[in-house]
Amino acid sequence: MQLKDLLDQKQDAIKQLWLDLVLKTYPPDSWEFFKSQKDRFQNPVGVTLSEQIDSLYNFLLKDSPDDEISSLLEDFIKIRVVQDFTPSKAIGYILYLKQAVREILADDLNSSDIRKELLQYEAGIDELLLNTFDVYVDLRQKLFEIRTDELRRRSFTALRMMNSKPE
Amino acid sequence: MSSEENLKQEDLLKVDYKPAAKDWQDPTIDFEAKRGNWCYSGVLDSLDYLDMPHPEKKWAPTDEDWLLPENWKEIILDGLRLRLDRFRTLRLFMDTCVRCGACADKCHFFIGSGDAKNMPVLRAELLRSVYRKEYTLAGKLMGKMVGARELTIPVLKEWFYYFYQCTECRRCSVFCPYGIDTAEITMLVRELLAEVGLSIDWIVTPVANSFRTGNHLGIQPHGFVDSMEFAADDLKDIIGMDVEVPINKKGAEILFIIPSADYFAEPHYYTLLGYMALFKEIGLDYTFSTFASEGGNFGLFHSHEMIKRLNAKTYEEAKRLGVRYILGGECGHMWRVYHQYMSTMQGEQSNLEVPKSPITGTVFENAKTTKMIHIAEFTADLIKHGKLKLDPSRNDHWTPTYHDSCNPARAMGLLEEPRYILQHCCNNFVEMPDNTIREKTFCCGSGAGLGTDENLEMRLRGGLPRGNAVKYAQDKYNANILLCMCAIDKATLPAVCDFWAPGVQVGGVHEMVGNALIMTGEEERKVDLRGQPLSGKEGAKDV
Repeated sequence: MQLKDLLDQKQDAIKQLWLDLVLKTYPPDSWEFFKSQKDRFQNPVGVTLSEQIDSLYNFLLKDSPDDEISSLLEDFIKIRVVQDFTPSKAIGYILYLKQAVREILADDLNSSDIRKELLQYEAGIDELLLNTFDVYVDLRQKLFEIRTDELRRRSFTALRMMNSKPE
Repeated sequence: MSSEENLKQEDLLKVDYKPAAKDWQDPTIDFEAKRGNWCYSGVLDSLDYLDMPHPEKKWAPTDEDWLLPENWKEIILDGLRLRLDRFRTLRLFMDTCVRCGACADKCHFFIGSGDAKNMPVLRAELLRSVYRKEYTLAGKLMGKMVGARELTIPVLKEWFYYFYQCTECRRCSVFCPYGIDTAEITMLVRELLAEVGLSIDWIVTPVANSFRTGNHLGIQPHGFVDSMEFAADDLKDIIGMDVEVPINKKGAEILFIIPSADYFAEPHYYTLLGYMALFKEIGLDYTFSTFASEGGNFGLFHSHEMIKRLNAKTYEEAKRLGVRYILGGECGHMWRVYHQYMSTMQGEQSNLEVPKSPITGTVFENAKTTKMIHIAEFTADLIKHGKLKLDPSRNDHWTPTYHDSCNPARAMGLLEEPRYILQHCCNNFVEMPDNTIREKTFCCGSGAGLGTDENLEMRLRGGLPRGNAVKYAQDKYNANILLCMCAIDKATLPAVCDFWAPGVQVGGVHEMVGNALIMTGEEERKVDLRGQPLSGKEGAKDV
């Protein structure tokens, strides 16, 4: 059996563990809420995270084209960018997938073929982390643009009055 | 590689990522690490202008020493005692909470951050724990066991941190079975903090400016007149007719008060053009005022005394100009003040009359006490009586959705009027999901004086639930503008939309009215109030 088949067969358990590991980056009083509330409007953090875990897992499993990756990552990274995390903590959750895979597939890793495939799979996760870094930096940049746009809007009339041509 | 070595590697990977549980009673905040979460302290000139206590030099939240007066603890505890005696509500709020958790997950800051102290129950507990220690027998005797805490400097700093992470939106109180109003708790804690010199600049400088020149930016009367004339010129370019802007007109029937952002900021400005077009068309006998040139009252975010000081000009000016009643524009917290505090603070105004629409004859009995009505009530009444000719197709380039601004919605119950107006002015109006609108509306995340730059991350985190619902309306219905009736919303929702739902603009209800309004003698409209071509007239030049 190949690693791909194992990842497919045991995906529910791996995704669940990955989700739990990410949720535990939040304070203990709140990760239960993020996990249990399924209404996307009452719990955008938890629901967006679950959706991203699904889509990233499929992305890695199916070897999807690279150009899709930014859009897959953006929704949840946006949340991490403005939450109370250092940059490494904000994007480091991608690496927790390694831990989830190794834990759930622990019994299957004795085969050297599977271990080789695992190294390759983990290289994919590393690549994903680099993509996440790009998206994170773009979004931080976006915050600066938002700040300057806000300043411009605040002095809208004054700027227009100053720039208007005398009749 | 042996399996034993493998096992070791696996062990190494098994890191416990779960943060160590922190006792909620531990108040320590690392302000340096929490940049983006707090606001700068008030500048001394502004505090001086308001005769507010402050240290000799400006302090920053990241400083170890906040330069508190020596008797700070006495000031806070005396102040708390005074307020417990003065406000029965506060005493009830301190005693009645049973920690049922109904409010816990209703705060936009908690939903966006996961920080448990953003749960309204726990935020209130930061004060309640001190109350328990000082004013209850159980707290005095059993201390920590019954959730009682000593008032210490770290506790005070924690108050500053968390009570300036509450936008006083009152969503939590909608869900509280006891009706505990966490916004009131926030207001009172901020009052106490101000008494020992702790306040934020985004509040005290607008307050000082309002006190000095009448509005948040400190625009002086001639600047106000220039701005209004500039707006009238802009409107003329769009409708092809001169627009008179009455200012300080004695004997006018109505005094019209708007948030100052309407005449200096974007997108507020288009709403101002909308009001002007409407009043011209119905021939309203009204006046603006350079003295009452600010509807907003940041005193609400500071202290009851400050609300009263700023609010006093409203009736004073109505009296000086000899108007019959007051009409107010699209503002949020301004309406909480007018609707819930003004008549108590300023007393009966016998010189004013119960508002009566000069166009429809409708008497607004609901404003019998305050003598002041909201423009949405006024305009909805005009439409209901068929007094306006409207062409909603002029808004066809918009698919609007409506954000119930917290204060008009929850503090006034103004839920139907704006929708009624929009349904008559727009063909494509759509709603966001039920649990995110009307009295359950999610805050913009920047109200109550928090709409500044240095805490943008916190604001966007708090704006996530709103932005998320806007994104849904954008994806599902192609919504492309978020309308609202609050100047803070109009200032801060563009950031929320740019981040969470890029492509969605922000505007006001009366901007849509101004677009749709068919005016007697107007030129054929080619552009909307933003100067953008109308649907089917894309060749038109921007004005």
